[in-house]
Amino acid sequence: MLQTLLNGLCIGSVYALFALGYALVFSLLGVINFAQGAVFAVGAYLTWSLNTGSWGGGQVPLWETSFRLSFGLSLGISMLFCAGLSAFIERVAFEPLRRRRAEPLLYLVSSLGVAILLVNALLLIYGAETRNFDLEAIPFIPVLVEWGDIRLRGIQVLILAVSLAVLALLILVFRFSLIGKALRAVAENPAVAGLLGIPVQRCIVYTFALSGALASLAGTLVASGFSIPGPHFGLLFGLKALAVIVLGGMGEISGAVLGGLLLGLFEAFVPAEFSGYKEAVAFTLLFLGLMIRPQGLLGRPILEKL
Amino acid sequence: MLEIDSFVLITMLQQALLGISLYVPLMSGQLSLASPAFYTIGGYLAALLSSAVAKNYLPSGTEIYPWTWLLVELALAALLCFVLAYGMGRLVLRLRGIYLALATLALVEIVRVLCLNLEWTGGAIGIFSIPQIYAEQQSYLWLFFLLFVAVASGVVCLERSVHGQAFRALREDEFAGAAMGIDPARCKTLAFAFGAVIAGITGVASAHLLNTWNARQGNFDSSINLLAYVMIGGPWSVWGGVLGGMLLSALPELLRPLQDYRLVVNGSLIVLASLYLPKGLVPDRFWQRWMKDPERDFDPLWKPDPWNRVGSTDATKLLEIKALTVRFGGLVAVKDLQFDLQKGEIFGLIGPNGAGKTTVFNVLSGFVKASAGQVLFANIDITEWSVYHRARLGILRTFQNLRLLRQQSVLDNILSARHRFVSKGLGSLVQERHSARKEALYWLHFCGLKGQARRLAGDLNYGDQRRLEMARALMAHPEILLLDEPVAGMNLKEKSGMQQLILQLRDEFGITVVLIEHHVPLVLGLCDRIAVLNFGQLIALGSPAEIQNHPAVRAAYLGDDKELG
Amino acid sequence: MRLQRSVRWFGFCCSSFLVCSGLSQAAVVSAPYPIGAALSQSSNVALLGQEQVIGVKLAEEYFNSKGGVNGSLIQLVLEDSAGDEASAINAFNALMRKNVLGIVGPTLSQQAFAADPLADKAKIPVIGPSNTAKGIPQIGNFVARVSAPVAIVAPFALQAALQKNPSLKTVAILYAQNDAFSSSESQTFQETVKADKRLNLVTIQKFQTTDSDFTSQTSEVLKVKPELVIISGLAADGGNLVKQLRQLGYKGLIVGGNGLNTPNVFPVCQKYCDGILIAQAYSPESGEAMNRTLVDLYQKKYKKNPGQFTAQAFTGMQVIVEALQKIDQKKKISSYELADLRQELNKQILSQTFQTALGTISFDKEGEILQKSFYVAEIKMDSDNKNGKFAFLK
Repeated sequence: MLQTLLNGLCIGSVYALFALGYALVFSLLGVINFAQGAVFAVGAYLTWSLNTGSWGGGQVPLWETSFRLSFGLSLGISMLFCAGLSAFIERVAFEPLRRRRAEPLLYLVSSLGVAILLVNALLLIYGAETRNFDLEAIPFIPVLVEWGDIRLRGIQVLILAVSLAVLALLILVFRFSLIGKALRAVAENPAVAGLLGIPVQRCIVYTFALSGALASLAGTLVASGFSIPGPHFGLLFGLKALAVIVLGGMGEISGAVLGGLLLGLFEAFVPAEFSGYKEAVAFTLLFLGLMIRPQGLLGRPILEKL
Repeated sequence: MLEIDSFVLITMLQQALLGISLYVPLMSGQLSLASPAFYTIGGYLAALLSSAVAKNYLPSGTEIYPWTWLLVELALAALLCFVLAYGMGRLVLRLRGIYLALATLALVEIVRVLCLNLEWTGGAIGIFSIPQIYAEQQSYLWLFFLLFVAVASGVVCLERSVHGQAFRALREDEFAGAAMGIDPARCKTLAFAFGAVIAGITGVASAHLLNTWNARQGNFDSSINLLAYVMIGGPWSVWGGVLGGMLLSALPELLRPLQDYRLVVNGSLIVLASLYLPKGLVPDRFWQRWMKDPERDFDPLWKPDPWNRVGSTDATKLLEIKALTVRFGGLVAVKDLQFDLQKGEIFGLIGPNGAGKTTVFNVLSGFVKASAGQVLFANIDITEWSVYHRARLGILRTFQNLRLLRQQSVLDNILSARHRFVSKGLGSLVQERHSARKEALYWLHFCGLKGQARRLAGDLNYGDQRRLEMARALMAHPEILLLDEPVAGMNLKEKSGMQQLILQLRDEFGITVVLIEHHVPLVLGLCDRIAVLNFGQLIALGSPAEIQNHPAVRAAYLGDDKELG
Repeated sequence: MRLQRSVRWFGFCCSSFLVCSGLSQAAVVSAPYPIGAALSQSSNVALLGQEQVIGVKLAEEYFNSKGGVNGSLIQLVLEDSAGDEASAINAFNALMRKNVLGIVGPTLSQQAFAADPLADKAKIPVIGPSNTAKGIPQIGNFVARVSAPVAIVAPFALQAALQKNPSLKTVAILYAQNDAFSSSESQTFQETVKADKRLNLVTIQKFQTTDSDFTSQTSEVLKVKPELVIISGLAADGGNLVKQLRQLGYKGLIVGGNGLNTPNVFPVCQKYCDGILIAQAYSPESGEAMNRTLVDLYQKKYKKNPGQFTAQAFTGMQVIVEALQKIDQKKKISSYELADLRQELNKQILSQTFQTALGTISFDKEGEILQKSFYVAEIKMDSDNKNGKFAFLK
């Protein structure tokens, strides 16, 4: 029981981390950035390459660099890179649409195009093979943590700790810092926020960068804890993250966290006989959530003004 | 070298069909991505049924599956999808926009996982060796071509029919549509179900085409692809979905020479298309450009007969409001209001801002539920009736903040209110548009919008927009017309014109008019009786003269005599 | 007026379709002889497809260096069959337009059910490289496969496990439910375990090939404390499952299904791969002459041993090439019409016996592979935990 709970929290915390990026972008622009799932994969691959020193392996032949960075440093660089990548995606696929006040759905399509592009570029570079981190290379992490009846892999504990720490930090930042307030103001009404002297465009770029960094972090954590089963794996997580933000309330920061943890728990508690249906858990929650409480767990009710 | 073979053409038609299946719900403003789920279901139905039929009813060794059975499958799939979608529609269609998209996306994945796990769907392998309809694969082109022609022309008929007009009205403004007598829930459910039927029959044909069927046929990716079809092709007409589906499904095959790079190129093209073709390849009102001026059909000698739907009952009291109270949370907007309307009178509702006038309108038209009290229309208790139901009964309104279908032409705006005339059933798809147009043109001219029929409603000036709202309400043949500030923002000349119009309505057509207006001279000059509200309570009721001299009114509202003119 | 217009439109569409669809030909065969391969190079099936692509490419290179078909070269024509049925059909159509003599492919069984009937109708021989589902050879006369159906291989591995630990009783089975191959293989494993009185099947867990987190499955398995775990899955998911199982402290035996018979599992489970017993339809360790050749070729390029998918794709090409050689000896290939040659090729494939990397193989009259050698291997990892080998057990 407690075992399952911890299992669920562990994966749930990563969902939360990843979904937070979606939620941030949604709260600001009211759109969903599908490319996020691809950035997630890019981040995971980049960290892997920096950490193990191997690049390519698809159409690009495999080559190994002599230097290998530590896990932490690789992760840092990858997060920075993905932050830049995400900001770049904003520039290329979102900003032109925003300037034209295009339909929200169009963002979905253009970010989807970016996702297809990135995933297939990864496929060209890395091929579809599974990549695994060399866990022994991460210092201070035991393989197995045993506590009475409960067994957790060391990496799971790391994932849980890192995700919860980052989540807590972010929530504090959004609640209390000036940046958080500025973001919330932009989310509420970009035009008014602009009049108040908040640099709206810069806020949006920062948000995208942050969501990119979070995607990279989540991707790396998942990849180190489990594996990178090919470039497509980010999109699946992207879908789950969508379920998470709907469950928690679109664009609600703490909602995304709650939703992520809940999804992890629900998945963990699927009885063994029905493990084939585990994939459907996220979507069933998404569906039922929308039916019963469309505004999400923590969202405010949507009022239509006559 | 670019080569297109028959299978690519078949795929293009198939994807065009699926594009249409996404477009049909979108016509009524719902972005439903559920098509792949129904596509999967249709395919499984065909796969299971035809395998069973081939095993049990056909002599063994029959190579070609008879097309009569195919027709049975198509009919069954259509029925099944319709029933499923109709039931589901009632549930999911409360959601809007991105929420509906996500819910339907979830539906697709749920169906996929179910099919993967169930016994009788064949698990991961699915069902294979599905009986063939044709010996040659090329021949499937005809099947898909016929399906495509049938579906496309059906949808074009639907688009042009009164239902299509209703769908489009809902897409732009659900409230306005309901106020014109369109039943939003029913229309949306129907649109959803039609989309599902198209996806289902496409699934049937595809199962035979592919020879095998499994849970992977409809998944998240296919939903997203369909969305891309419609967005890139253009979400405004059926041809957008068709064109998008055909282009995007042919693209990876055309790019085949690029081998490994083709999906990268595919992705880039999608980004570029969404950036540089924001309205899609087939823009909105694409065909209208070539349409002749509809006002040429205007017949200056014709005019609609006066209508009377209440009948010649003893009802001198056309509408009765009894002890009406409306609360919003702790706020009491209307308290214990009581008055009635005589047939054929012009009734004014005045009061300072926030007095509850518009709330009274909202209650009468059904947008706001009464917290207590009753509303009777010709002795029928309509307190619980929905908006569109009341509109069909003859209670029509205009909106203070204008709720026109801004992206549609003036004529289409008026025509959107003819929904209540239409018979049910298939006949309504091809019903003669002529008489409706004739009447719409009459009201257009009646309200002084001559020469504006083809313009976009959103492009009209403010006064014309108000007149258009009125013309639209008239098209629905009101018994009671609720006008919310009909002359706001008009100049003196326009105001007197509107005054004439209102009088004419009462005198020629016997319409009972209730109006909210801040322009007091108009109210005093026009109305037979006036009710004065303050803080949600009725403080005076009577003829203009009585109101003018009513001490409570002077004290509470009018303040000084100058304003009374 | 309007009616007339629609009729004209209809006619235009019909005629344009006819123009596009009539593309048949009566071609004469000339060197280099085109041999088609429709394999998944994109989508998430690419993981399997890539290995097969390597196999067919190596075969083209090798047989051409040996003089092709009695001096005339062969030419590999590769088309991407992606991950779905329609793409497989498109790939097959593209190959047929290019007048290939025979086709190796497609990658997935599901795709084979959709695409193979076309080749069969066009009377083009198809060799399924790794289509293991039931019913593939029965699609038609022109469809054969070089991948053994799973039922034969599975029981051997179980016997090997019982030899290692004769006292084992409790068995847990896990399988990838969305993979046709794995779920039918697991069925065989389950039946074999149930039929054995000494064994007790304590739990059956399902997972998806797309999963990477197996926490809930491993927790369930560890709860019932099995002495043997049987995993039917593919390299990525299966390897991960092994890794997570071991990391959580599982000490017992592990039997991996045929899907894990690829060097791709080594980087996935790294040192935890050690000791997995694998049911093999192909072993890089086997001493067959052709296998040594394949392993050398592969080693030279990729510095590791080839896997089963590579070997099977290689064999598919070999079967076609060697059958062509036989035909050519009787009557010059260049004197054939394309259609006759294809007929002849199919007849030849079904009647010939081949010395391949998979051992000595031949086909029954439906096109099902008759394979003599199956192996059970134990994975032995190298000291750097990056690479390993499949050590023969018998």
